[in-house]
Amino acid sequence: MSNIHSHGRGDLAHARQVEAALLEYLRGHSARHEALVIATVGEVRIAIDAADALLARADDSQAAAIAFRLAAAEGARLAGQAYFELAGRSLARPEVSSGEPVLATQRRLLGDHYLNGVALADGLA
Amino acid sequence: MTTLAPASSLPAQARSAPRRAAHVIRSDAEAIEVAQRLAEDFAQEAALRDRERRLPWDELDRFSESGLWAITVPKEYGGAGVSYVTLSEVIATISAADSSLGQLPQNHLGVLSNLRLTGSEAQKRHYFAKVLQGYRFGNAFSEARGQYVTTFQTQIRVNGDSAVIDGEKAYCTGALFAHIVPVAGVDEAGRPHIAFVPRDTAGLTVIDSWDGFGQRITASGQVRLDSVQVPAGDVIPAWKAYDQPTADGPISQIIQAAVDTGIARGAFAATLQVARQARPWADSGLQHGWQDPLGQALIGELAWRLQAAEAILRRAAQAVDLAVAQPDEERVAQASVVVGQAKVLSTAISLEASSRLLELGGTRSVSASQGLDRFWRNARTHTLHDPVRWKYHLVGNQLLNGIKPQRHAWN
Repeated sequence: MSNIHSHGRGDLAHARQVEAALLEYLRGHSARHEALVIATVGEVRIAIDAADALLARADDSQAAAIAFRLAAAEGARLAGQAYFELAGRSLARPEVSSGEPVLATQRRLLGDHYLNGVALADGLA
Repeated sequence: MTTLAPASSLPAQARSAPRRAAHVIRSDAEAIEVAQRLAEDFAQEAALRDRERRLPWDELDRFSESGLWAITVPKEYGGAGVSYVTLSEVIATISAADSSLGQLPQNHLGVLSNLRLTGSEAQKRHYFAKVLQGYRFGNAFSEARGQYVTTFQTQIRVNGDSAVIDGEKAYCTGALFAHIVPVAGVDEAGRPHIAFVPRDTAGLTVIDSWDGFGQRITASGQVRLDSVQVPAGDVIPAWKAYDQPTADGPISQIIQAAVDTGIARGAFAATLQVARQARPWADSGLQHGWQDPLGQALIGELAWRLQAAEAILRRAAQAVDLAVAQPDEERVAQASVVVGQAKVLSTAISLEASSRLLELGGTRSVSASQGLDRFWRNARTHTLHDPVRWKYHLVGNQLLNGIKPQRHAWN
């Protein structure tokens, strides 16, 4: 498993943990029936499922691995934002090891790959 | 643009039967191959058709004659009975080339699903055979005056061996080009039925009034029905597809998501082309625009979001295939939920990619001669079919409150 996979899996697991905490919190509150709350929960679940769907193909190529990594980060970000906004709480996100390029760099590398055909280095893995 | 085309003076190209027999596609793989070949053809003049609002009569003949409009006809009726994974890929492929052409079979395919679910054996044999021959269905479903999109004022009154239809329809994509226009209307009990009305039937008027700024060549105008009479045997009880759990709603919706995914694909491909040719920004210190790290990052963002939309579309199609095979309450609800996710992601990426396309191409990309704005106009127009904000709600309500999506053609 590559570093990217590992970090992506960590973020995806975190997103699921936060979502579970959010659902548990909301199920004890009447806000669970409010349209905006329900839609926010839906937004988090869609982001998590999108990352999960990309995980299933993350071994296909370096580009697919980065796509999964970025989707997992987005899932974690949206879950954390929703938990803070709806419950006023937060959970610590897993730390990123020093071996992983920052997400912005991965985003740029992915773009360079599609725009200019630049191969994605194995060093990312 | 409003051109009245009463039944007595049909457009010269309008017919109630195909000019030539269609090819019959035999497998999923063949359907994909034919779609890819046609997409290359349709991409050639997509911008020109959009600019001139040149209605795609010839392209549609090539499309339906290719056999692609019949690929969901079940095997027991002579069709390929392809999976919805394959159908979604076919629609996305065509839509990437020209999303108006990708949208035009949308209701035709939806009607085939409803026919399979609610038609009598004789009706299925009759209409599936016609579709295999190359007949195109349009649609006269939606109404502009109802309180909800799901409510109909149009009446279908069965009297003995015949049925009489009166009403006004809007957003009738495909009706102008159809050989047969399926018309939705309610019976005396308020239950929706679909009547198959040949294009040249007296009292059926297709009005080419569509002036939307996107999906310009879909001719999604109006239909008027003045005492239209058809045999009672040409009416199917469409309501039965929603009275019990079936995949009819998710099938209708996944075709929408596939069109939007296709628009996103087309916009992303065009983005790569214009970004390669763009000038570098003065402050960047770069020699070429394609070296721009900020632009590259934007493209990377589009790339993963497009892949996510495609991956969820595939999952949604697999869920639809499961619901078709075993249409119980759980599987149908799950199909609606995952298709709702596909709608959300395909809507977002089609709008984002088509907007970034122009940003990354710079001012030169807005030259009307290139027609690159069509991707955003098409995405914005087609994604208005139903409000995606309620898809977030649909997904969240199932998860948070265990409430399954309502069963109708928009879920």
